[in-house]
Parts: sequence; structure tokens; C-alpha cells
Amino acid sequence: MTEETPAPVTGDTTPIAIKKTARERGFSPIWIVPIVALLIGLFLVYRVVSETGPTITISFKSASGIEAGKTQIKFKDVDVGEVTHVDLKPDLSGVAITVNMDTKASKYMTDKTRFWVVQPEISAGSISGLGTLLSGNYIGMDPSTEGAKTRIFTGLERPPIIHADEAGSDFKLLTKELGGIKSGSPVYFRQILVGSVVEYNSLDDGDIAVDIFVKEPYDKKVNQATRFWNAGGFDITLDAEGLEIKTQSLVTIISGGIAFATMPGISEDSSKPVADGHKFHLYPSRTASHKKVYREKSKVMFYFEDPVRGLQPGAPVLLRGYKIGEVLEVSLEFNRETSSFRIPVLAEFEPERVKIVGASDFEHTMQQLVAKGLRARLETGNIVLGKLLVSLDLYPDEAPAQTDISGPYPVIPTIRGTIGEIVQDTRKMIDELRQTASSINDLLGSSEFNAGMQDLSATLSHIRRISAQIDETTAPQISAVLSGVESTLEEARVMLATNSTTRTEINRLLLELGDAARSIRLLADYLEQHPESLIKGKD
Amino acid sequence: MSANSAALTALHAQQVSCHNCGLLLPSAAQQHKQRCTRCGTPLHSRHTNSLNRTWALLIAAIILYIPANLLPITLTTALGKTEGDTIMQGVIYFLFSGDWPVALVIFTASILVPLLKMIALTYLLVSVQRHSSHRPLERTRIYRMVEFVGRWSMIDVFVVTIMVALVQLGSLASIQAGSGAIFFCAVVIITMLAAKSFDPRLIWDGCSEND
Repeated sequence: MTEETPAPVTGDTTPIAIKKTARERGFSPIWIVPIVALLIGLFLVYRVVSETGPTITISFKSASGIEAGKTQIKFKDVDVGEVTHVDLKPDLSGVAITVNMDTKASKYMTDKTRFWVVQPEISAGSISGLGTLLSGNYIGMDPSTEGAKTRIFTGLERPPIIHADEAGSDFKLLTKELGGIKSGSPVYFRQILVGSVVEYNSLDDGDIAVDIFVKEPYDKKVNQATRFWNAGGFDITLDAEGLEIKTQSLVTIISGGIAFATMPGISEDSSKPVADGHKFHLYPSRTASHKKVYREKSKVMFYFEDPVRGLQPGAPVLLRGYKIGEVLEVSLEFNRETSSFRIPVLAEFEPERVKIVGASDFEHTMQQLVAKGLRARLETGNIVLGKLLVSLDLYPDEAPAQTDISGPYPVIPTIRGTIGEIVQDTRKMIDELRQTASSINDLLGSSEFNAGMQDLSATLSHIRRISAQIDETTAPQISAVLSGVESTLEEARVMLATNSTTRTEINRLLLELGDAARSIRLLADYLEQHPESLIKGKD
Repeated sequence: MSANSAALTALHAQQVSCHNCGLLLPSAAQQHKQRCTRCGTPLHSRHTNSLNRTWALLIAAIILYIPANLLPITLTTALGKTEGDTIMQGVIYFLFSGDWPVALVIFTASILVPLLKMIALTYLLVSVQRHSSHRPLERTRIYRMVEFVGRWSMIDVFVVTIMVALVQLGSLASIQAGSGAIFFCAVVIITMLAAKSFDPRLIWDGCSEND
């Protein structure tokens, strides 16, 4: 350590005593420099070691945008780790990404923690991950302290919609058709965005289970009486009740969505809270969801004679204007023996719709009602669209009939519908009017009529000639009488002449009668083509 | 030994040279108080505590050389994404992007030269401590080279400073000096000081003692 002390050299000069200073022997302050350097080095080593957490492996299908040494693991935009290696799996089924996690993230390395690649995504509903356009993809983390500790993870191919730190409830919706719903589709409550679809999967029994998440505090709005419906696209209803278009929001038109509402009073179990993960039925539309659910259904059969154009399955069956069921099926039956057609219409009654006082079974009730004159007939529900419906009412004046309960369904007798009656009666009336008008026309234009008139004129001149002969040959007294008669006849002739007032008036009367007949025919034709004008008036 | 080993050093000849103006004076009895009669510089026949100081600085430099190469020397922020690059990563980047001359320059100036400098100083120190008389002339040449080349290692630091000053376009693109730059700077400065504190005259002491 110490410098070699130069030995005094013996020579011709005086030896020089060289003092060995304390400095040279002892500790030199220059050694502080390497000690400081060493301390810094040790501190750096300590920092690196303390910040290096567990090394984990995440497998993905592909390493899109993931780069070793650059891609970060982020939770809430805070770096919690870095990708160190990107390797292919030995069987080439995917990639294994080795990640150095920070120490602070080590306690979240459980099998409940999820990882996924965050990349820019533009969908109809949202644009997300735009920041990654510039910074490159990163791996998102949804940490969880629950579950078993692990070092090997399987990354999600799609970002999970719900993060563990969000408060809310999960529900399961069962449906037959997905109808445009996908992972991330919004869930609305009174058109407030309250959650989203987490995922969906097909069940073994053919249903599709849609998992949704509803945020707090809206998850409290979900109870036993809550109805979920598919709010995607337009909900256009065009039936006997008119045209109805409903939609939730522009987003749902494009990307689909789910809405829910709680209908108070619809059932007794409303306001009963439901547990997390409760299963609901997902109705295909708002209308469907708002319909009261009737479990009891009874089928009946009608045989109609009237044309059933405009009667579709789903058309309402009304009893005195109150809907008690709907048409299920319309078909046509041809009897070869009698060469006659009849139209069987299968309908479904929902007896629960009617508040029934007194106890009796359905068929017996039907028999009683039919005996009292219950008849079905077709009525126009929507005159513009020509939709028909089945109307039931009691017609005590009708001939007594029996309910045919021999077939699979009780048959309710039918009578001619109002529309059929009106059309038929009008047609008959028009035909009669037409015949009257044409016979009058024929009479006026006929040669017999003109010939009769001419004959009458000729007869009169004959009479005049005869009277003149009589005048010449018989007594002049008679002549005076005859001349009186002649003048009378002349007056009659004038009156009946072609250009006489009376004749003209008769002609005009006949013409006007003809016009009136034509107008009635036109009206009848118009009515036949546009029966709605009876109500709406001519447009 | 060799012809040089018989060389007479100023110390043996009871002389002391001024390291400022080079005047050779006879050694005084009170050596550490002696001043140059011409320029007034304090005279030492050998640098005080030279080996000790050089060793200390050299060890410090060797320790700091590790973080200087492992920590990023620049933090490049391009389009919101920040990346740290160590010296070696820069060399590899230039090498693979086709600019191998640039890569060579950076590698030589920033990695090779400091490393060789430290190896050379270690060799000189060890050889002096072992009173080696082996090729003192070559060793002196090595020392001269070490001293001369030392300042050029600062090129890297200058480049980083200029880049940091020039590329400041906010989040679009900006360069910041990484912590590695500080350590690298420290390595260069400390090796320069180490080279300065080494007294090349000690190389020749071994020769005169062994005669």
C-alpha cells in the first residue's frame, strides 16, 4: 500500500533523510472515491434486485405487437412488468411470453389474474386503445389476490370487459337467438348505459347464455320482475294495432345491445332482490318482454267461410274488444266429397287474461258460451292495412249451435263477418241500381217509344181528317163539338210533342235518374276498391 | 537485465525535476517543501501517494464502468413511447442498420477505449508495484497513450448532450440523458484522474533498483 520509500543512496553526496509521512503509511482519503463508487454500485444492484419481481409466462395465440424488452405490462396505465422474451410454443400452437413482473405485482400472480393484449380497437360502440397506436401494444392486467399462486398464465384473446375492481353484479341471460349481441355490447336501463355484455356461450340444450355485468347502483334495479330484452337494431312492430318503431340508441342499432326494465305490478314477485348470477330470460324485443306471460294456454279452432286475406298468425282474438288470445295458424281445407272449402283457423286463448269468477273447466265453459250464442267472426282490425282479427261475441239470436269437441281442439262456430256482409250487401244494391238505371235508359232510347209517339201523332191526324169528313158530311153542330174536341186534341198533341215542356221535363227527369244511377255505381265501385273510405272519407 | 535497467534515475542522482517547466534541480533535504527555482512549482521527486491514489481511482472507475454499460445512456421518446438504450444497444442498432463504421466508432470510443485504458492502468500499477524492470520504455509509451486518449472518450457524453439539446419536440420526439450517461461520464473523468495521478517515473524506479 505504501509507496516504496526511496532508500538513501550512498554516494558522494550527503545522504538525505527522507521523512516517511503518516499520510503515506495510513489510510488515504482518496479511497473514499472507490468506496463511494462501490456504494453506488451496490445501491443499483439492490434496486434492480428489489424491483425484479417474479418471472411469469403468459401464453397467447399470437404475439401481435409484442416485442421483447419493449412491451410493458400495465395495470391502470402503470407499468408493472416488462416482456423479456417472446418464444414460440414447442408445438407451435401459440406464443409463450416471458414477463418480468415488478415486486409490487408479485402478490397478484394468482390464477384469477388475467392478461390480455391491448391494441387499438374501433367498433361501432367505442374506440379504445388509441394510445397504443403511438406507443405500441401493451399487455393489460386485471389483478386478483384470490386464487392459487401461479407463474404460468393463459392470456385472453379479447380484453375482458369487466375489471375486478368495478362494483356491480353479474347476471346470466338465456336466449334462443343472439341477435347481434356480442361481447362488449352495452346494457341499458332507461337508456342509461349501466353495463355491458361480458361474454356469451352456447349451452348444451340449445340456449345461448349471455353473461352481462351491471354496474352499481343499477344492479339493485334488477329484481325478480325485471325483463331483459334485446335492444339491438329497430324494433318494428306492424300488426293490427298499428306501426311501432322503438330503438334504444344509435349504438345499439349498429352493434346490438340489451335493455332491461322492471315492470311493477306485473307479477307478485316484483321487488324481490335477486342473487348475483341470477338467470333471466332474454326477450327478443321490448314488446315481447312487456307482454304479460301467461302460462296457461288453451287452443280452439274456428272454421271460416269468409276470405281470410289479412289474417296472420299473431292476429289478436278479441272478446268484446278485449284481447284474450291470438291466432296461431291459418290453413285451407278442401273437402273432396262436397267440393267445398273451409278455412280452419287455430287460435290460442290465454284464459288467465280474463278474470274468471267461479270454477269450471275450459271446454265446459266453451260449451256453455256457445250454447248462449258465442260466435266468432272476422273483423277488420286495421282498415288501411287490411289486417283482420277474430272477434268473439254473444249473438243470442243466432241459430243454436254446439261446440264440436270431438277434434283435438274445441270448435267455436262462426258467422259471416261484418266486412263480408257490407261488401256483399253493397254489391247487391249496386247491381240492382245498375239494372234499374239501364232499363230506364233502354226505355228512353228504344224505337218502340218513338214509334208509339209517331203512331199517336198519325192517329190524331186521322181523327182530324175523319172529323173534317164528318164536318162536311154531318151536322154543323157536331162540327162545333168536333172542333172543340179537335182543339182539345191539338192541345194534347202540343203537350206531347217532341219539343213540348212536359215532354222535356219527363226527358230531363229520366236523364237525371240515369245520372244518379251512374253515380251510385261509381260510389259502389269505389267502395268496393276502397272500403276504408267509409271511415276515412275519400282522399 | 536490459540496457535500460542500468539507467540512472533522477532520484538516484539526487536530482529532482520540476513537472511544470522541466528544470532539473538537486534534491533538497526538506524535499516536500522544495520549490522550483524557476517557476515556483512545488517539487516532488515522485508524486505523493501516486500508486495509492491511482489504485483507488482505478477501482472506482472499474466499479462505475458496470452501471455505465448496463444502464441506458439515452432515453428516446418517440411518439409517446419512451425507450432506454444502453451503449451496447446503440452499437448493435447501428451495426444492424448498416452503419457499421458508426457502430465501430461508438464501440471503440465508448466501450473499448475505457476498457483498454483501465486494463492498461492496472497493468502499469501492478508492474510498478512488483518493481518490474520489464520494457519500461514500452510501458511509458502505454502510459502516454492512456493519458492522451482519455479525453476522447468524452465524445459519447458530448454526443448525448448535443442530442438532448437538439431533439426536444415534446412527446413527438425527445431525447433525455439516461442514468448510464452519468456513470459513463464519471468513468471517463475518474480514469483521466487516475492516469494523471499515476507517476510514470515510477516505471523506471524498478529498473534502477534492480541493478
